[in-house]
Amino acid sequence: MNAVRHTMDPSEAAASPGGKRARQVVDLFREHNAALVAFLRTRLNSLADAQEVAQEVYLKLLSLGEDTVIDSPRAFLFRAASNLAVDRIRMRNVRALAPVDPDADDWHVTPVPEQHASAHEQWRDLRRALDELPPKTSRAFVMHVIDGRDFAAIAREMNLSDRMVRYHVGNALAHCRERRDRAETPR
Amino acid sequence: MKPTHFPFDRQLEHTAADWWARLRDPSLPDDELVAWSEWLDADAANAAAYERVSALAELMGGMDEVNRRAFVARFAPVPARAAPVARRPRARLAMALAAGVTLAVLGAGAFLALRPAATDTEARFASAHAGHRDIALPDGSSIELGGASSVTTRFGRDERLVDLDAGEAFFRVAHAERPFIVHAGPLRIRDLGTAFNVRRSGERVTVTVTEGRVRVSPLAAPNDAGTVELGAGREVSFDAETQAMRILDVDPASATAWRSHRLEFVNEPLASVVENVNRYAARPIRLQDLSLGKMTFTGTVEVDTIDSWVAALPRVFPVRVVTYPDRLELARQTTMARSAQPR
Repeated sequence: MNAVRHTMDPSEAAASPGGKRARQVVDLFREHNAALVAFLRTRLNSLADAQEVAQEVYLKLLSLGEDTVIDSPRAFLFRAASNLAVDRIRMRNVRALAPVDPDADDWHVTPVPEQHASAHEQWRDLRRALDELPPKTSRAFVMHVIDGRDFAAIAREMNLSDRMVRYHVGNALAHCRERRDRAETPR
Repeated sequence: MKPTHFPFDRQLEHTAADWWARLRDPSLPDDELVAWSEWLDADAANAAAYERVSALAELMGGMDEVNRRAFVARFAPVPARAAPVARRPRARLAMALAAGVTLAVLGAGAFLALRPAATDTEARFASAHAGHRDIALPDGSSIELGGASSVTTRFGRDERLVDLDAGEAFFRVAHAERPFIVHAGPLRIRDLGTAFNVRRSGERVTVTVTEGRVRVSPLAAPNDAGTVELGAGREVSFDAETQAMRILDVDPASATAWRSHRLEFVNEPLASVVENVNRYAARPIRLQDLSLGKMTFTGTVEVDTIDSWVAALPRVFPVRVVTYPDRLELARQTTMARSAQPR
């Protein structure tokens, strides 16, 4: 997949390029990079951040000593990624608390009219797609994906199990995707 | 890898979205994660479907602040902060429940209808470029649409809802128990027995009352904060960027002058003026330099002589007009660029 190219070649970063550890990491990287980036993208809800954190994962694996025993390389890879994703989210939260630089925020004051119009239509269509869903489904989805609240907090507020929240979020996402497909490919 | 197009598959889309939601749970066990990656690798169509749901979730997660607040206000209002609606008689409630209306019961017994009944009838009306259209609604109300404008009406048991999707409309509302509500981008306009005009350019909305009263609220504000009530001869402009409401005394006739083919503006940003004029212009007008759009314009544009209005702009603004076969462009005037324009 394309994402591979965005990630640095770990063999270049390895202290001993021909080492057993480096070889193992390179293999892991070849085999699972697409899944790793897809996984991180899901956790971080950002492809750009996912690609960055994927690099951190490889650097971390390369820095492990040659004697570290890894039973299930794939599970190990995902666990390392999961931990680094948590760190990244913490870092983001710290940044979100920092005061906004008004200059950096200036770009949206003068939107390009066409972009503005199409963005507007896009949100309108998504709003309509959500309107078609049962209220609990759209509510759980908006709280999680748009308002950024975790499943446990939503479960508490809506008096549902985590599993039901997850179910609603998945359903709403599939429905929105389906509506967009219908809009993109009129038949 | 060359992008491959897979036919739309409803089941696959659901499976992908279900995996996405599972993966969002930080406590997902390792073996499920491995099962997911096996599913992902098993078929390129699976990976493509997963990519599509991820991209959509990322798009929605990265929504701008104004829209984010509007979506949260619409779909996930916080119960403690939601505006309590006047208590309805019990019989109405029983009927509403029977009809499948979703109700959230608030602490003291106040009821908040979260959305219109599922039995709503929806209709969409649009006018042609430079055209007008009169719409007679089933409740006796009427809407007059300006050029290149569109509305969607949703009349339910409890309210008459109209979305102004784009452009300009003049509403004459027949009095009824069900409130008549217009959503125009970031604003909600609630009629209190009246006639009013709404003009929308993207997220900038201007509401002018010609008779009676209306109540205007930003959709994004909780608890109806920022609500203003306007009587006849008053106008409010809402700018979603600044979240500011500007109220003016106006001649009601000027706001609806478009009905007699004139567009009148008072201190309107040029970007918004151009967007409105473009609903009528034979050749669209574009701003080459977006900063020009912030200058304000006061005056009248006759919709059948738009070209001469554009030609006169350099006399009042530091702009020059560049004429193309299919469009007119306004560029910032420089001392070097006062030469004759291409024709």
